[in-house]
Amino acid sequence: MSGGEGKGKGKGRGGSSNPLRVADLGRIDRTRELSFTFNGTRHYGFEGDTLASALLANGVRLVARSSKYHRRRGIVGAGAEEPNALVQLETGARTEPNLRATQVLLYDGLVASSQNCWPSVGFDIGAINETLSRLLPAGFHYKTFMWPASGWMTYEKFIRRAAGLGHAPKVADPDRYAHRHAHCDVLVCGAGPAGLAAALAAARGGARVILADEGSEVGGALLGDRAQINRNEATRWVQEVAAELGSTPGVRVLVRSQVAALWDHNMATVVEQVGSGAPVAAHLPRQRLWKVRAREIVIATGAIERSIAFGDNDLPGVMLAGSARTYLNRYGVQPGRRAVVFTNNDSAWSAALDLHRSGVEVSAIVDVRQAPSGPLCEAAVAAGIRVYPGHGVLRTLGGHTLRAALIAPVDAAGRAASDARGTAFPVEGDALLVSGGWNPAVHLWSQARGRLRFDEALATFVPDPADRPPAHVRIVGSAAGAFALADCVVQGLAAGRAAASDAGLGRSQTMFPPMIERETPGPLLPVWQVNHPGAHRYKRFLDLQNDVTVADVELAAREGYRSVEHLKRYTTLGMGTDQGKLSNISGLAILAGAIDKPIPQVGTTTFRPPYTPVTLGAVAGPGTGIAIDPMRKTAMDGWHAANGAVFVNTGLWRRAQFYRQGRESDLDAVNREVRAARNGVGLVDISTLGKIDLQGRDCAEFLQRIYINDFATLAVGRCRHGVMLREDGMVFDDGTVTRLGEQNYLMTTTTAHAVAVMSRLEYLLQVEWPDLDVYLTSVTEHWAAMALAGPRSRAVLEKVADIDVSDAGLPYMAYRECRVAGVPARVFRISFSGERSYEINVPAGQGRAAWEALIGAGAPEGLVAYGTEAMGVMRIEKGHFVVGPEADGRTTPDDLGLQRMIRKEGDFIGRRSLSKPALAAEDRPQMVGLVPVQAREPIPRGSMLVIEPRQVTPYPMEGFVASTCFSPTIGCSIALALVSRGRLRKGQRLWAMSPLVRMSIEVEVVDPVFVDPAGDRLRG
Amino acid sequence: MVGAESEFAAVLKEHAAGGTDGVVGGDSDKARVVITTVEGRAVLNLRTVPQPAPGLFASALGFELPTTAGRSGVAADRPLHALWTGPGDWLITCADADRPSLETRLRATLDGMTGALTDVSHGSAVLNLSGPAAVDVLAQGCGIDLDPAVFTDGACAMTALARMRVVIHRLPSGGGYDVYVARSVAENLWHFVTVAAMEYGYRVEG
Repeated sequence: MSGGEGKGKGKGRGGSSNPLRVADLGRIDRTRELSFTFNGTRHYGFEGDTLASALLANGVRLVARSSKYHRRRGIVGAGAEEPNALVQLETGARTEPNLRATQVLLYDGLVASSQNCWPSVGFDIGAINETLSRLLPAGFHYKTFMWPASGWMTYEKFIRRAAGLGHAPKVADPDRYAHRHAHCDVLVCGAGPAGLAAALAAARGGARVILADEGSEVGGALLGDRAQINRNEATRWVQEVAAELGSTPGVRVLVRSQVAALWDHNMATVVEQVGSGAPVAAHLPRQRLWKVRAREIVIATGAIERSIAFGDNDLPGVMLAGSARTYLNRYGVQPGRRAVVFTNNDSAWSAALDLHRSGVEVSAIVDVRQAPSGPLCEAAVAAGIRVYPGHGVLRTLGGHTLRAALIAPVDAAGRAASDARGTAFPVEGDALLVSGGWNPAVHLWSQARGRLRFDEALATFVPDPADRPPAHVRIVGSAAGAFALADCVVQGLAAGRAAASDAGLGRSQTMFPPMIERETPGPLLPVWQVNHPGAHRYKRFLDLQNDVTVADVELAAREGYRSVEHLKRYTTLGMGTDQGKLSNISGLAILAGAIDKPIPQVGTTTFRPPYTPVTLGAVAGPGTGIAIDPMRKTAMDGWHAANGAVFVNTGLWRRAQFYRQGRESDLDAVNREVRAARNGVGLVDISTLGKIDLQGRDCAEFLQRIYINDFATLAVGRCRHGVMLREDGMVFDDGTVTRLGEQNYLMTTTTAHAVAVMSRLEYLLQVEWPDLDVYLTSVTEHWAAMALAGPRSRAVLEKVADIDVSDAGLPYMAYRECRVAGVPARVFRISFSGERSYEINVPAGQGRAAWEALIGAGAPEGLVAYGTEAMGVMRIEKGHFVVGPEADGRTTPDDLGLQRMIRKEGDFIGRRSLSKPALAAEDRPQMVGLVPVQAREPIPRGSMLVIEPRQVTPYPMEGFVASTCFSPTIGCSIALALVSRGRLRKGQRLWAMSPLVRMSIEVEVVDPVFVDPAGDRLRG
Repeated sequence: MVGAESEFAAVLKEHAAGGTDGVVGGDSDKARVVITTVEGRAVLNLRTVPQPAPGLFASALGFELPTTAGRSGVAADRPLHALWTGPGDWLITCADADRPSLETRLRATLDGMTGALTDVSHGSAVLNLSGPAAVDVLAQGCGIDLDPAVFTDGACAMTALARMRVVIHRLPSGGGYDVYVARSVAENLWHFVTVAAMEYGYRVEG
């Protein structure tokens, strides 16, 4: 055996350190030796190994501690079903917990460790739980909830810590995760014999095919047995099919790709482990989540072997017979030197014969069936293997690892008379290979809402395509309960062909199946547990991952649990990373026996996605960091960033909240900006306001219907403030409307409601009033917008605009087109700040240039850029409501003091609701202003307003503070509040209470317009 | 006239300043994705009845306005496209220099009939993706079927790409894919495209 070439580990190292590796068997590459570390010890394996096969080859038996009792555990399975060998892979940022060693492809330098043990897997303090096990019965953690009441708080820490799972990384994941959408005619889940046949037939039918398999190569079960197809090794057929699929256009074969879930409308999520196991190159993602939309789906997920419960059946060395066979044939690893085989069906006999041929001493085949027969039995006898028909394994013998199996004659129900010497006797071996039959992997079928029926002969649930089958989903092969290879291939070919045909492809042709000799297995004897009068003295595990025993299920039954769903939650049977892939059917069979009901009546638990755990990285995919959601930036964003802006997110937009100069505080910056705009001139970026262009003959009529005020009289070149209501009469949004031309208007909306207003107006036009000739186009993104505000604003605009901006040329609420700093612009004399103000729109690509031109032109006038915070202060000072704080969906126009805006004539949305008595009630909240009685005190935001602050709760509430700020203009804290009968209470005193900040401030009710109530400053 | 600056200009500068040729996972000759920033593209939104009379817009456009969902038309002699984006809703794209005359012709056609024409040129940022793996880049963020056999030459779709609303337009005769996105999220599109294209190797042009 050659050592790892060029790796300098020394020749023959792998051979000598792989005592259980056999020559000439397996699909590993013996020229490529790989070094890895498990629990701090360095081992060697080969390319093609899984971590599990490499550990077994190295003779590592003890790989984990069980969750509850911390019992020693070894590798049981060879795939997704593995309950024991959960490992923490790698350390630091790339660490990943709860991985099945059976699914971890080995790579050079791999580091893994056991979970759920401290300080080490060999010496684990948690094992004391086993001594205490009588205190930890089924549902023990629920029982801690019950008594004493405070108990759970104490126990929780211990129970959580002992729960047996790994730990999440504590630092950011350095790897990238990709998403990928794909569409196909036929998705085939699983690339075993049935799946390969289905994919081949569908591909030949001309379909776009995706074939996904969790394994590192296609072939499925054929890679682990010694089946023959076309009188050759089956793997040759696998290669031929793979080659044809690989060269057919429109066919995509995904390996290391688990179909994790099937969703409605034939959408599947597939998790692909990119690369060959080792950390991937920087340009590749670590995992790729495929979102596949398939016309037709063929499920060919195979079957999972189940065990039989007997005493101490969790000792390292006990393994599923089929898995042992896979380790031997696929990886060239023997499960031990001497094997005892225990079964109730024929499949384990094949495993025994393979092992025998490879040089393992099969010390006995123990079969609960009284008279197993057939060619396999004859072959075993011919090979000189001792056979014990009508016997069962009562328990294992051995301390840390298996030494022997104690066997005794059993009846057809698996019951032995006694485990006393004389009846029972040991059979020596260091491996005990068990088969209790096979369960079809029906998970995806069930996720697709396919139904199951109980098959008495197979003693398991199988898909029932006859009972309301899901549309466009087929299930074939072992997954459908057809365990014979010939049936798998025939079913696969038929399903692939039919799927291609149903997907609308005409090229489907009949394909002749390859030559496969048909096995005729003997019947299985459904024995779920080996029982005897002393059986209760030993734990007989059903669910190895959750330490659920036969006794636990029987206890739950005695305590009244009848439903399997309840049983699962109570005992934790079938929970955890494996979701009971090995234990579910056995568990419900035991429950059925305990409550004396037939198994079909007990039913199964629900199979929910995902099939195996999916990392959060794969789910998040590329949507992390700045890609977590798009961030909208205005055309002037770069200027803001370069000029000290502190940003705030408003919806998806990021806006300049204020610009910090030097070491000033946040409040100082805002006050400075407000004073500049009130006393000189300021410039603010308002590009985020929604802008909707309206064209058509009926625009004026449309505006009349959606706004409470009059738009019929709006002349070309003039602007007007408008308020729209919901049908229930509550204020929905406000903004301005400018008449650009005879049949052309521009509407602005609030930043927050831009999308909602647009979709609502589109709805009205498309559904309610299709007769109106109005077209809406969002032009929010096309125009960059800025407001030049303050007493000196005209002086600045004069310098850059090529029109007359005098009060005669551009009066309040007028609109002109012109050029500003050479840029084509729309100028609106509209004010939100209460100062003389010009809103300037320019094409967004020229937004920054225009902004910088204004900054430059304004410098001699002392122009200051201001942000949303100063804007907010100025609107509170002016008593302007905004959508959100004051127009919170519960306030009418009158509540906000807008009664005079409502036009007298004609209907509009919400008008009829306003006449409802409740909306005209006298005690409605009304918007008022508040000032603190003690001028230095701040009014806490979100305060409730009460008359007497020293009452006991619940206080009668008079209203609440909607918006508050420090007003540099007034010189104290001010607020807008909604107060019951507020307008009649001006001059009254109330208390603003905030339990959150534990403050109570006495306030006086005042008019909501704090600055320039007459509006003189607006008009100049 | 102050020159317009594309939203991509800043990221491109940064890109060049970083000293990278824009290729990850391969050398530039083998780049399987070519990313081109499209400058000077005018976009008009045309709205009118879903099925205008045949020939009505042919004189303004030089070709028939496409009335099949998800299809575009193109002028024979110029990069002038009409993209169907909804019933009675089209994006007309052309070189910026052609916009004024085109706008005049389209307004003349619309005169007297129901409809609207709006210049939204500055509302979009446009990237062109070409090369053998261009479709693999888009498929990482877009749920529609972009298989070249399905999303054929001249196909267009208003859809979602990595949580952004985009219009994807497959140009005729191997011109790759034009992706229109709201200019405010142009940086997000750039980020998505350059991350998604990493594994194929990409080159930046334009």
